[in-house]
Amino acid sequence: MQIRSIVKEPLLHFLALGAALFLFFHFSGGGSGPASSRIVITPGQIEYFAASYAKTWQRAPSDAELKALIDDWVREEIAVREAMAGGLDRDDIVVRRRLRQKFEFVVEDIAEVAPPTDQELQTWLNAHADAFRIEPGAAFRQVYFSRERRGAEAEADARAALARLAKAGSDARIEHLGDPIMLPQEVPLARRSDIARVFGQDFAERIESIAPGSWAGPVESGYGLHLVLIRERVAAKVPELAAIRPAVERELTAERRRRQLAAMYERLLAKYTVLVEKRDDAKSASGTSTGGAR
Amino acid sequence: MKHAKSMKKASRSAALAFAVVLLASGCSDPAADDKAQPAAAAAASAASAPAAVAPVPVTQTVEQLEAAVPDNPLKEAYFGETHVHTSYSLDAFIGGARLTPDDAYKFAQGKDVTIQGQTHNIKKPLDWTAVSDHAEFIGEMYSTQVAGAKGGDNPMLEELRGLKNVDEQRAWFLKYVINNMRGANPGHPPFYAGPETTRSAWKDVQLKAVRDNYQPGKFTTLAGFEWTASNNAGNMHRNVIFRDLTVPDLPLSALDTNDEEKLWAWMTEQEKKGSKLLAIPHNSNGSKGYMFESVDNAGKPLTAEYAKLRSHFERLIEMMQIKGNSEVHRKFWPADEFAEFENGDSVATFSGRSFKKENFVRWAVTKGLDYQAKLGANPYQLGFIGGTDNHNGAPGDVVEDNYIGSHGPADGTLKDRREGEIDGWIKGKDSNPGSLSGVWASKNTRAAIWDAMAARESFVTSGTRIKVRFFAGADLPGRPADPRALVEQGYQSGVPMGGTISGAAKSPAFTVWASKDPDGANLDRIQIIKGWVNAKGEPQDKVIDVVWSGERKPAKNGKLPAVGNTVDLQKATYTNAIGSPELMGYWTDPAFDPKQHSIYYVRVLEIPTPRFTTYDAVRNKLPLLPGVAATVQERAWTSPIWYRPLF
Repeated sequence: MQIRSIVKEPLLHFLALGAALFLFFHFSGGGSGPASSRIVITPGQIEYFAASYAKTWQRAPSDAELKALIDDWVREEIAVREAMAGGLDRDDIVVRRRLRQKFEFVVEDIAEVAPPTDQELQTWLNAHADAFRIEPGAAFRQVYFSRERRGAEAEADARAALARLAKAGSDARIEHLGDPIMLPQEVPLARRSDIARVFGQDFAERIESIAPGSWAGPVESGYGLHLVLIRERVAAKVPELAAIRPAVERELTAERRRRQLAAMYERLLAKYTVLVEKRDDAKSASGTSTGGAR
Repeated sequence: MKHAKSMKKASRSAALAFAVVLLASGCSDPAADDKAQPAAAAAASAASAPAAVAPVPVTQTVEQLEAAVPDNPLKEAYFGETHVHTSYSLDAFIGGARLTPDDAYKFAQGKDVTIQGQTHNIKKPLDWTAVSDHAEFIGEMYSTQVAGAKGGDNPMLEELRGLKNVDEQRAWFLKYVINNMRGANPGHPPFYAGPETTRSAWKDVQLKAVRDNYQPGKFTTLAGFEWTASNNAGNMHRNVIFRDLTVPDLPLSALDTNDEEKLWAWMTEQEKKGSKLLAIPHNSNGSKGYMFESVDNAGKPLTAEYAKLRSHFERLIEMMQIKGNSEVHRKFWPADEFAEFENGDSVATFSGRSFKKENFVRWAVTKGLDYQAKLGANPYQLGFIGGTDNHNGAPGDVVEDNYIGSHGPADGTLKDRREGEIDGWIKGKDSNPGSLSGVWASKNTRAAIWDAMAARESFVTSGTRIKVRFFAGADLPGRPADPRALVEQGYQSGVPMGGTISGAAKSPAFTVWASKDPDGANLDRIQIIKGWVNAKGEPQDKVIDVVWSGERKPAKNGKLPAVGNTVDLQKATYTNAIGSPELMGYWTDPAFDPKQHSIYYVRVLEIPTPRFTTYDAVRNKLPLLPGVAATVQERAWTSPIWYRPLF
C-alpha cells in the first residue's frame, strides 16, 4: 500500500530515481549501463537464453550453442551502445516511435495502480450522467390512417376521427378505427429507440411533445398518419451506480490514463524551451514559447 | 557536452526500467467477473409491440437476464450483422482500421467512432452483431496492438507500425501475407510469436468484447470468426458463428487447413465438445466455380454423407455484401428484370474471377433440389442471411446516404469511391455498402437469434429495414384477413421461411407480408421466385409478381408496369408519393407438380432511391458516374421454403 501511494506520482519518481541512478553511475564509474565500458552477463540472463532456445527447439542448447547465444548478445549490446553513443537512434523514426510508445505504456500502467473508489465512481457518474442515461419511454395507443388508401382525404378522415375519440376518451374502443396495418394499436411502456424501431425515428421524436391523457394528432410517420394517446411517460434517468459499476469504472480508468499522460507531458514540457522557427515562406508569426507549445 | 548527454540518457532508461520492475512486482487489476452483468436492459417484446422499459437494474447473471426477457411466440424481426472486420483482421489493420472488436460492438449500438479521421455513427443501431475477424492472423494482431505482448517488438511489426503511406502498407501486406496465403501451403508470416498470442487475441480480445457488450433483450453479441481459405484466389471463405460462449480454445484458420471438408470435421469435433456452431459461406460470386462444385475435394462426385454434413453446418449463405450481390447476375438471368442490381461486375476483372452462372445463389439453391432427388440429401439447403464484410470495424454500416466507404483508405475518400478500387477485388464505384441480416426470433438473446439462424428463419435486406414474412402450407386457411391473422395462421398451419413442406396433393398456399423501413422508402412489389430442375438436372426458375402498390395492371405478356421513379438526381432526394408502406399477398402455384422438388423464396422491392454514388456526386457537386446506376431499388430476400415430394 505504501509503495502504491508513492507510485501514484510517476513523474516525481522518474526524476528522483533518474537523479539517484545518475549519481550512482557517475561515482561508481562502472555498472553496466549504456554508458559504461563493462558488459556483464549474469547467470539469470544465461538461463534466459537457454530457456528461449529450448522453447524454440524443444531441447537445451549445447555449450557451443549457448556460447554463440552469449556472443550474439554481446555483439548486440556493443552495437546498441555504440549506435546510441553515435546518435544513430535519434533520427530513426521506428526507434523514436517505439521509445515513445514504451514511455507512454509505463506511465499509463502506473496510473492504473489504484482502482477507483465508490465515491470517485459516483462523482464521475454524476459528472457524466448523459453518457449513462437510460432513454425516455412512453406507453401509448394509436390509430393508423393510410395515405395510400385514402389519398387526399386521409388527413380530414383522421381529424374527424380525432373529434369522436376526444369525446369517447382515453379508453375508447379503437379496434375497428382507421386502416389495417401490422403496427400495434396498444404499445406498452417502451424505450424511445424501441418505438423508433417500429414506428420510425421521426414518429418517436414527434410523440414526445404530446401531453399525456388525451387524443392528439394526426402525427406523421413513414407509414402514414396516426392519432395518438399517450398513456404514460417515463423521463430519461441515470441508473444507480451499482447497476452499471463496471462500465463506469472502465470509462473512468480510461479517462484517468489520458489525463495522467496529458499532465505528464504538460509538466515535462515545462522543463523544455520549445522554439518553433519561422519558415522562410511563412507569413504568420511564430516565436519562442516556454512550455507553451501545443 | 557529449558526456553529459549520454549520462542523461543513462539515467532516463534506468528510471524506465525501475518503473517496469515495480509494475511487475504485483500491482494487478481486480479480475472482472465474467458472469455478472448489469441489468442494463431486460426488455419485453409482446406481439410486435416495441420492447418495454427495463425493470429496476440489479446485478444478475447473464442466464438470469436472458430468462427475464419475455418470449414472443409470433416472433419479431431483429436486424444484425454476421460479417465485419476490425483491427484484429490483418488486412483491415493494414488499411488503417483501428476500431477493436469492442469498438465494433459499440458502433453497432449507436456510439460515435472515428474512422479514417472522421466521426461516424450508424444512426440506427443494430439488434445483434457477430464480429468475424480473419482467424488467420489474430495472434499477430495481438502482438501488434497490445502493449507488451509477446512478439510485439519484432522488426517486421515495427516496420508495419511505422508505415504511414497506403502504398507502402499494401506492399508490406502483399509481401508478408497475401503471397503467403494464396500458395498451396499457406503459413504464418515470419513475425508470428506463437499460439499463445492467438489464444490471447481470441479470449482476451474477441470473446471479452462479446461478453462485455451483451445486453439480453436489447443487444446480442455472437462469438465468431472468419475462416479465410482462398485457394488459387477463389473465395471459399466461411464465417463461423457460435450459439453461446461454449467455444474452443482457438479458432480454426485457413493456416490449419484450407480444405472446407476439414473445417466441417473440426466443427464436428467442436459439437462433440459441447459447442453449437454454424458456417456461412459468402461471395460465391467470386468463388471461381469452387463454391458449388459437383465433386468433393478429392474429385469424387458428391455423396449423401457429404450433403448431410455440409448442410448440417452450412445452413445459410450470405446473399450480398460489399463485393456484390450473389443472388443473380443480369448476364445469366436476362428474363429477370430486377437481376441488374449491385452486380459488382469488376469482381470478374480481378484475379481471374470470371463470373459463372454456377457461382450464384439462385443457381445453387435450385441445383440442390437435384441432389435431394438423386442422393436423398441436399448439400445446398441454404437459407439467406446478410452481411457487409466491412473492414473499418463498422458493422451494419449499410445506409446509402451515410456511406463513407468500407475498406479504409481504399474507398475512404470521394475520389477513391469514384475512381479507385478495393485491393484486388472490385472497383470502388462498383461496390456497395453491403447487406443486413434479419432473423425472426422469439426474443433478442444469443440462443433465440442463433436458433432462428439455424432454422433458416432469416431474411436479407440490401441495407434498409424492410421486414418480410413468408409462410406456406397445404392447410393454410385461405387469404388472411389481416397481417396478424397471416402470422398466426402461418405458424399454426404452415411453415415459415426456411422450412420444408413434405408432400401435397395440390399447390400449397403461400402468404407474404412486407413492411417498409419506417424511416425509408415505400414498397414497389412482392415477388415469389420458384426454382426447380429439368429432366437433365439443370436449374430452372420463374419470377412471379404476387402483390404490388397502386392500381397497376399487368400487360398481356404478364409484365407489371414499373412503379415509377421520384428521385431528383440534382438533389439526391426521393418522395414516398408512390409505392405502399405495407403489402400483403396470397398465392398458389398454378404450375405445381406434386412429384417435383421445388423451392420458393420471396423478393421484396422498394421504390427507386439514390445510390451512394449519387449522394457522393450531389454533395460534392460532381457529375454522376457514367455507366453506374444513379438509383437502386433496395430489396429484401427471404430464405426459401422447400417442397419435397413424399415418394
